[in-house]
Amino acid sequence: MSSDKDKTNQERNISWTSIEIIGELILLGFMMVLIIAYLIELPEIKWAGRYLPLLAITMGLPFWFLRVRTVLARKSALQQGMVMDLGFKLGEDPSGEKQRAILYIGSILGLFILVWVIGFHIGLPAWVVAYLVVYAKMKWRYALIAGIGFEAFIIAILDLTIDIGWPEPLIFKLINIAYPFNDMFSRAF
Amino acid sequence: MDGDFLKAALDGADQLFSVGPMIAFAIMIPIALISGLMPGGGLPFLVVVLSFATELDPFIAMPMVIGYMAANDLTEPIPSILLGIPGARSSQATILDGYPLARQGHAGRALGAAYTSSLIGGIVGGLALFMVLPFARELLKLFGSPEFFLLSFLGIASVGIVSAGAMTKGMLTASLGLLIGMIGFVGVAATERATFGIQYLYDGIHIVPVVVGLFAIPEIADLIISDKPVAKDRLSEMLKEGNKDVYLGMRDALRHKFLIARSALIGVFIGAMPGLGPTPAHWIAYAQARQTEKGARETFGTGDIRGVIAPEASNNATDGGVLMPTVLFGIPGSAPMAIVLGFLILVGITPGPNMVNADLDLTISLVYAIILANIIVVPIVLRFSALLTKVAAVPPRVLAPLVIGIVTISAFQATYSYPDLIVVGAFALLGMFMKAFAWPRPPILIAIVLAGPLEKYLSISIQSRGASLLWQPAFIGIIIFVVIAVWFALRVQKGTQAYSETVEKEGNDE
Repeated sequence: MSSDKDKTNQERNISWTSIEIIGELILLGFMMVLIIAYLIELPEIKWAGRYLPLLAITMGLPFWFLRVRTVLARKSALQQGMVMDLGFKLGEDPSGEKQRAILYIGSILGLFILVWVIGFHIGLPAWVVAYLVVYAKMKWRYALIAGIGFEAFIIAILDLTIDIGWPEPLIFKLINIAYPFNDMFSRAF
Repeated sequence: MDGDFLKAALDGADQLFSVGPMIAFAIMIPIALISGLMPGGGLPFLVVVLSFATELDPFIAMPMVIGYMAANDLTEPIPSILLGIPGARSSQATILDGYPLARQGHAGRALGAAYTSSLIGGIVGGLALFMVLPFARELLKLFGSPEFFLLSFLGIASVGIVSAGAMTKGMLTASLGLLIGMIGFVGVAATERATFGIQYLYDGIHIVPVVVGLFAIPEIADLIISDKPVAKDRLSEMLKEGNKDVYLGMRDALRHKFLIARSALIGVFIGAMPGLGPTPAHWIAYAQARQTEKGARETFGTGDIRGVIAPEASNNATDGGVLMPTVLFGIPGSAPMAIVLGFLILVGITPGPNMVNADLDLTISLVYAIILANIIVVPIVLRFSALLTKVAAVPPRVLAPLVIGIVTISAFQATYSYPDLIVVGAFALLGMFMKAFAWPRPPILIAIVLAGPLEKYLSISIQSRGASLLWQPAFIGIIIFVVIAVWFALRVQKGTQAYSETVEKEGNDE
């Protein structure tokens, strides 16, 4: 009995500033923005295009309100089990885990920015080498081999096999030069 | 079996056993083996395989994808038995007896038994799919757009209800998936919806960046954040044991053929239920073995070979089971199947009646692909299991940049434009949040994939039948069937959860 009470107290003790509550509020807010966007647009759309949005909104709205009520009560979702999905396997080293999470998110953001600024051919292999040397503490020779492997993969598959038209990276746009890798290779297979 | 069916069976074999698919198989199997052994690697690499497969002929691409999944599943016993680490959730029960066997010096025997039962289970799963096809042909003749609409819609709803252990969150994510899946140009109304004036959204949200963000990046995050390297001493010890007495284990499995048959049928049946998949199936198989096998209550959990055979036979048999609702009715029961369904739609193959009529040879080639992958991969893993274990022991911080690099390239292949990366980033944040706070991710993906077909079926249904579609016999029959299936799935889910927790607790106490 007392353990049930403790559990309930634990569930209710989540702070308003916890990632769980903030994240849920953002998720629910985003969903409501989508619902409102559909509701605003629907009167201008032919009937054939209204059925499914109305159905999805009708299906989701009651659960949306139920979830808002749960969030406002600040109950934790972590007690609920999942069959098809797995949560993170955490808990042994909270401060290290937090640090690695920040590093991970930051490094992916860095990769995307790097690719957008200087393109895939240079950005992706450079990021792989940097990650392996700085974070994985790999010898730079081996990291370089991994980087060259990525370069070869990009050229072999995306340039020589599929021959995609690369979008101009930001830096090439700024200096007004065409992305050289677009003309360098053509479909070989 | 009619003449058309036989002809399709021969055509399917002819198509699969030709140069192109065989080369694709030869490339895909090492990738499947290595990625399956990387913790969390199976799903990210499935996305990679699919993104490149869209460039191929469906007869090469589809068997390749299905073969990849079958081969991927076959790697699961290696980390479970040798290292006591579940490769995926569907090999947790294998650890209970497989790992104690390995610690007693019988790792090779456990692997031999696991792979023999997996092989038979995989073949049973493939054959079950094959045997269902003639009945499905007849059944699907009764179905039109209203029935397919209802099946798809209830499929989304049932996965939402079942998958989370919390209906509210499951249904919310399913609705959110539909809302996201409807963004863009809508053919039935010849207009755009919810694009907010952003040109990129006009074609809708592409499935590949969604999957990379929602599944691949959070799985790699799990590796990086937990950062648990495998103990080197345990690894080298197990590497020595991995190839010993393999034949003894194979003989053990063959001696328990009825246990394998029962477990495989459980795998097929549970796999075919929307929202369940291999996880409950392998636990149920383990539980039935513990209940029905002589003396199992005392010996299970201490290194009983039957505790390895049952979950592994069931685990692999689900491959055939999960394909049934996916290709025949367009209802994916799990996240990997939602990805496969999205891929089918992407390459212009419509799941449903076509899969048992015009594309029957393709469907049958999938059966062959499952069986062939099992036959090819089992001897490889039996021979090289110890060596392959080294992949599972590569430090996550070394694996992560390689996997991230490859999935980023895959995501970029959606439209070859930088906004693809923004979609990846947005869904990665969503996926990590959902993974961290127990929100189910499969319903959102399934809903995004099914939004397009759902809209088409709904529009045709209303135009052709109006309100009268609500009292069509097939329509009512589907509602009754789905309600029963969801009730059954919820019971299975509840029972599985309670059973796995009890067994794991007992194991920890001991």
